[in-house]
Parts: sequence; C-alpha cells; structure tokens
Amino acid sequence: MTHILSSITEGVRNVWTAKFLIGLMFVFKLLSSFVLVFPLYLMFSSSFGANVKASNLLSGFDPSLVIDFVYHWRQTLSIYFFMLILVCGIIIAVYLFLSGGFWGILRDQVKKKRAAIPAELMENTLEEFSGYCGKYFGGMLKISLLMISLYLLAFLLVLIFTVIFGSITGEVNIGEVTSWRMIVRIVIILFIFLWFKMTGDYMRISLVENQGDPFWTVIRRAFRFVLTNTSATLSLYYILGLIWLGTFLIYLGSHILIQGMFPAGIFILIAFIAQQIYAVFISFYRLVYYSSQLSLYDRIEQ
Amino acid sequence: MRLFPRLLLPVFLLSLSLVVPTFCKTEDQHAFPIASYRIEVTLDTLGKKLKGDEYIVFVNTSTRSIDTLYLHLYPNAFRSDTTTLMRESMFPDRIKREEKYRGWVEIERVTLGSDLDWSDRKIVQETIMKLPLSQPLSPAETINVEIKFSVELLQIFMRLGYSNRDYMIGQWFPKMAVLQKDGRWNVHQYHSNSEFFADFGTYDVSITVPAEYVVGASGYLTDEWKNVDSSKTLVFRAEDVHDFVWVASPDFLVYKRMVDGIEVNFLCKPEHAKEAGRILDEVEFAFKYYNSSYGAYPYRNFTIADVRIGLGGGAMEYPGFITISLFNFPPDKIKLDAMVIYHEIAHQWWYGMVASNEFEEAWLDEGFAVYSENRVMERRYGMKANLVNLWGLNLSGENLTKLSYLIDPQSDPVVKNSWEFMDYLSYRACVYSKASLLLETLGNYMGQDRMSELLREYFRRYKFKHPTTQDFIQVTNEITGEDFAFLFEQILFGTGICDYEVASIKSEPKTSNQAKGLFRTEVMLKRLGEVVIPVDVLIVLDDGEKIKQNWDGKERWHRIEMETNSRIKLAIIDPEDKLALDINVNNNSLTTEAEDSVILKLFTQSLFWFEWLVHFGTSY
Repeated sequence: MTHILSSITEGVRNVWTAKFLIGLMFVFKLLSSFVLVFPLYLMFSSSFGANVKASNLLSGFDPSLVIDFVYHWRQTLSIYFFMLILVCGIIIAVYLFLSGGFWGILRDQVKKKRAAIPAELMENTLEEFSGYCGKYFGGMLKISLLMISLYLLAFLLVLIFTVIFGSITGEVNIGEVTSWRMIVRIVIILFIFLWFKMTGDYMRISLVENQGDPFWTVIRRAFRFVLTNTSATLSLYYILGLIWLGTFLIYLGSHILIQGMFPAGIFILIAFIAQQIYAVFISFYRLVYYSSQLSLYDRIEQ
Repeated sequence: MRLFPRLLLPVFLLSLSLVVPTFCKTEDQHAFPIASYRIEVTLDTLGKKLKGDEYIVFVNTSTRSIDTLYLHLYPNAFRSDTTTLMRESMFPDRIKREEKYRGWVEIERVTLGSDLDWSDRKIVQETIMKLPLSQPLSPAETINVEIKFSVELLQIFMRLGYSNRDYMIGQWFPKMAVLQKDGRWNVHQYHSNSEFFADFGTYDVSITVPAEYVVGASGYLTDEWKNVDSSKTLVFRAEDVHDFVWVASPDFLVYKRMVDGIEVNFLCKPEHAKEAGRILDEVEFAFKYYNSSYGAYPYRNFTIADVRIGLGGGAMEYPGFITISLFNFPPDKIKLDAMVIYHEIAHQWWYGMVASNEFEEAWLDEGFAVYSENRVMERRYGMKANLVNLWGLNLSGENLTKLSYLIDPQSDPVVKNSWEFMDYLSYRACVYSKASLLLETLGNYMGQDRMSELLREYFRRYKFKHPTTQDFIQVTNEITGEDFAFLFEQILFGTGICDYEVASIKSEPKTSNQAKGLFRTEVMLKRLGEVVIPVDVLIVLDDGEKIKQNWDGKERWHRIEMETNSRIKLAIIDPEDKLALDINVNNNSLTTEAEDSVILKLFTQSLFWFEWLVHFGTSY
C-alpha cells in the first residue's frame, strides 16, 4: 500500500513539475472540441439566434424545438456526422502522436527523481517532447492496433460472462439498476474492460522503458508485469479511479447546486468557467494516471 | 371436446333471429348482428393445434341479392414465406423462413344452409375463402354456415401463436368478410401494414383447454365445467362486437377491479405481479377519461393480458380485450406502459365500437387512438415530459407523435389502403401521427370544448357502425358550422407539408416632417409548405404594443406593412401554437433582440460534451 500511495504522490509531483504537459493536453482537447462544435454552432445560430421560442432552451430541454431543429437540418446533420467520424479519426491519430511525448517526458521525470537531479534541472523542453512524439509514434500506433483486438477479446469475455451469469441468476431487467444482479454485472463488466485498458497503459510504459527492444518483447514484459503484480497495479488503478469518480461527483453536485441560483446569462458564464476548470483538471488527472503507473513500474522493477 | 349438440343449433339460430329485430329497434344501444358466431374450439397443447366447429349466422344487409360468400382465413397468412403477409412483413427473410413460424387453417367441412355439404365448392385463395351459393341470398335474408376447421399454431407472429406455454389466439377462426350496402364484398388478403374490418354480431365461444390453464377472452364468462379428460371448458359470450380473441397460459395471475361498473381483469405474468396495481390504476384512469369524454363503454367487462411479445402481438386491441407487453423501464421515468395502455383502450372506442374500415381508412382508428392517448397522458402526467423524464431529457406523447410524423411526412397521403403505403414508417407517420396532429390542429382551431363535443357526437352517431372519412368530415362541419373540407382535403388526401416562416422584420424611421417619430414597419411572412391554413400573426413593438393580424396563407408570401409609433421587437406566426402540423416551429418567429444567451448556452454545453468525447475517444 505504501508503494501505491507513494506512486500517486510522486505521480502528482512529477506532473506538476512538467506543467506544460497539462496545458498541451487541455489545449489539444479544447481545439479538437472546437473544431467539432463549430458547425453545430452555425446551425444553432441559424435556428435559434432570432427565434423567440428559443428562450425555452434556457430553462431546460425543449423537445419540440430540438425535434424540429433535427428535422430541418437532417441533411446537413448527416454530412456533419460523417465529418465527425473523420475528424475524430484524425484527433485520435494526433493524440497517438502526442502520447509518445506525454509518456516520454513523464518517464524522464521518474528517472530524474531516482537520480536525485535538482528540481531546477528537471525542467523539460518542448523539443524533448516533440522528439519523444516522433520516437514512440510507431510503437504507440502498434499498441493501439493491438488494443483494438484486446477490446474485442474483452467484449467476447463479457458476452460469455453475461450468458453464464444470466443462466445462474436469471435474466435481469434494464429497469432494475439497483438490484444486486445488475450491480454485480456492471462491476464485473467494468472490471474486465478496465483491466484491458490498464494493461494498455503498462504496454506503453514498457515501450518507453525498454527502448530499442522488439515490439513483442515489450508487450510480453508488460503482460508479465501486470500478471505478476496484479494486486499492486489493480489497487493503484482503482484508487485513482475512485478519486476520479469522487471529483466527478463533486463537479456534478456543484453544477446542480448552482443551477437556479443565478440569472440565466450569469449561470451560463459560471457553468462554462466551471466546465473548463474541470476540463483542465481532467487533463491533469490523466497525466497523473500515466505518471503514477510509471512510478509504480519503476519502483517494482527497481 | 364437448361438441355443441346439433339439436341445439336451431335453438341458437332461433334465438339470434329473435334478437335481431330487438337490436334493430334500439340501435343506439346495440349493434345490428350481421355476422354472429357460435364456435367450439379445443386447444391441443401437445400438438400445438386448435380444433374447432363454427356456426355462422349471416344476414344480407345489402340492397342486392348475392351469389357468393367471402370469408377470411387469416391463419393461412403463415402457410409459407411467400404469402402476402410474409412478403410484406418487415422481419428479415431469415426469420420468416423459419419453420416455427409456419401455421395455417384447414377447412375440413363446410355446410351451407340446410345440411348442404359445400366442402368441394369452396375456393381458397391464401387468406380468403370464396363460397359460391347454390341460390342467391336476397336482401334481409339469413344464411347459416357450418364449418369444421383446425388451426396449426406457430410461434407467436403478429397476433397468433404460442410462446412456451402461453397462447395468443387472435385472427384464428374463419370469419365473414364485410358485405357493403351496394352488394359488393369488402375483402382483402391479410396484409402486414393493415388491421381488419368486420361486421358486428354476437359471439358464443366455448374454449376447451387443459384444466390448469387460465383463459382470458373477449366477452364475459357464462359457464365453465371440468371434463373427464382433465381438461376444462369455458364458455364466453360477447355481444355487439366484430371480433373475438383469447389467450391462455397456466402462468397467468388474475387481478380484478371494478371501474365505472366495468369488471376489469388483468391477466398478469408472475414476474410482473408487483406491477398489477400500477397497471390497473392506468386502466382505471383511461376508462374514466374515455367514458366521460366520448361516451360510456357499453360492455360489462374488459380484459387486459400481459403476453410475451414474440414477433408482434404485444400491444393489440380487440373488442373488450387488449394485450400489452410490459417494458423493463423505470415506470416513473419512462411511461411507455401507460402510453400503450391508453392507446389500446382508446381503440375500444375507435375501432371497437366506432368500427371503421381498418383496411382502407386506418387513420380513423389509429389516428384517433393516438390523439386520445396523448390527451390522457396530458391529463394524467401533465403537458410536458409526460412520457420521458430521465436525466434532464424530457419528452411528451405529443413530441413522440411529432417525431414519428417527421420520419416520413411526405411519401403518402393519410387516406389510402394500408398495404399501399411505401413502407411501415410512412404508414406509421401518416396513419398514426399525421392523423393525430390533424385532430389536434382541428381542436386548437375550433376550441377544445367543441372538439370534445365533436368526438362525443361522432361516437354517439356511429357507435356500432362503420363510418368513413366523409362521415367524420360531415359531423365536423355540422358541429362547427364551418366548412373544414379544405383542411381535411389537404392533410388527408394530399402529401404536402405545413410550414410557415417569419422571413424578415424591420422598422425604419419615416423621414417626412408630418410623420416624424413614426416608423415604417414591415413583416415578411412565407409559406414554405404546400398546405394552406389561415394563421394568426402577432407583432410586438418596442413600446409593448401588440398587433394581431390574420393571414389566409393562400399566397406563397405575404408582406405586412404598417405605420407604427415605435420599432418592431418581434413577430410570431401562429403565436398560440395551434398548428400542431407545422413541420418546423423554429422559423415561426423573429426577434430583433438576438437570443445570444441561448446560443452561448448551446455552444458552451456542446463544447464541454465534445471535450468529454475527445477525452474518452483518446483514452483507450
């Protein structure tokens, strides 16, 4: 447990030292989202910009306006969704490129910490970041392709589990979300998918830690690491996950709390600021995930 | 099987013949029995078969002599995967080819009139049986038809079949087609996009099933006894109806409640037992609403059966009987169960009693049922979010109707043979949704009180009859004292859409000395759709003055010009939302004060959700 908690605190510290990564991650997500939302903004503007009834949307969801909006823009929306898929593909490819930089820089932070390098010398540069982006792109691409097959495997496992579980406990209704059968089912399905997702992270760690090794050796090492340190890796992953869930619930609660406290215009502004602060936090937290797992890997391998 | 003693047949026929004149004299209270049936049927649960003997008394109510009888043999629709129904059905071919969906009816013997064996003379064309008569049947003359038949049951498909130990037996017996007043038969094959049409009569049906089975049926139970072979027979009687359905299962639990003097039976699957109270509450609410709004339900009982859905059959209406398949949604958040119950119960009025031709004018029952169901939803659960209220997403029954209409608003007119629609979506959009929106628009234009009066009068006048579209238009015009033919003509017989737009608004200061301080205000209105309906226009000025105008909508555009004391603030076309048929309400208004905060809200919310999308999209 000490290992795990230390990994988290070290992870947070390392990310904070390389703050520019948070900025990069946030700007990347913001710009990508802006590209995706801009055509919608034009459609919103055209439909609701001078529409008296549009003020209904300020107080909530008005289905009659939304239904007619979708009908009116149905042809444009179908083109838009096609564009959305294409742009999402590009965004994922760009992130694949950037992820080499994120992992590389955070790995350096762990190494420098081990070598007791003074804090003023621990600063990384954008040049180093770009270098890692290029250096690990091939490996990251291969891992992402491998991950697709692993998720398919996870899906298969979920299907098998669902059939077996259903035959033992009986079918469960969609509406019974609070029944133990549904809760156990959701927890186990989440576990299966998250285990594969976590293994993907350790593959990336293994890639940046074992530079120059053949790809399958890297993958084998990652699996060996995860399987031989199951409790440590899972504990770290789920502790980080629970903290994330807690922050999300706090965000959601505060959003609901401030609803109705302010006039519509001010609420929109406050909500927007809160959303973007939370988006920055989420960027930070993903890097904490990376960094904490790197730290754990380093500690155990040492 | 306890066969109906042949000796008693004359007694049955005599009793019907005595009843006929009685019904004729009090036709407001009872239907004229044109086609009455006595059926004895046995369910063979091992062989998955029905064996039946049927005695039909048919009266020629047309003005001409006829030389042929036509009967429907609906189970033959499942005889192969190439029947009309199977060809038209939207289920995948792979499913339609499966052997478990094969079923049919065998006509073993047909006797006409006085013991005349007519078995060899029958001509069967898929789901229609033609029986040439040895001598013409004159107007007002009665003929007796005796048929021995068996039905091979299939896995539930549409309305007939079994699912494990549950049986749904609809459209199962040889049934008389409708003879029109002019002596022509209104007879069609069993189509996928169509329901049915039949004449009223009395049904006496004896059903023999294994003793442990619980049976629900149209009509009321008159007798029940156990047989020596560990089976039991239940005798049901249904008067003034035009169809008979029954269901059987050993698993049904029976819950009863009296509502406005009607005995309501809920046949419930054990896994849904805890929902029984809620379902009966919904049934009670619906009956009270419809009884007070349209006219009293005349039968002594009503049955609602919770059936396995199979391939269809989960939400069906029959006289005095409906089926539902309960959804697994949280009922306080998504009220689909309630909506289906309100819809099917509305059919007791619009189909059951006001029995329009569902083959050819399906909107008269489906459109009316959707309209009625939406009114009950509003009354019980409020105007907004009465259907879905889940995580900020809200939807009313009315919204769902509009959504369904918008899926395909222009491929077909509303009044058309059901099977001639382009596809099921177009059928649904027109017959269910567009028709309902028409009735709502009509109600908004004439006022809700007059609309209620119209529906009450329409029901009173056509109870136990077969009204047509023209009959409804006539009643509408009589009640309102106006001619609404222009509206019905466009909406029911045309494929045009209704869309009005406020295209531009502006105010410019007048320059002449005499008019100083005045403004020349202009509002440009456009009719983007083909449907022409007069609309109200509301113009609001900066000083708060409100100006109301009316535009007949006949031209494609209309410019309102006026001299005003201040600048225009906004203009709204159809400000009271009367035009439920308007396909796009977003262009119904314009304001000079742009709704920036709305756009800002939509933009920032969307941005945040896209940030999440990108976050999760890159976190594999």
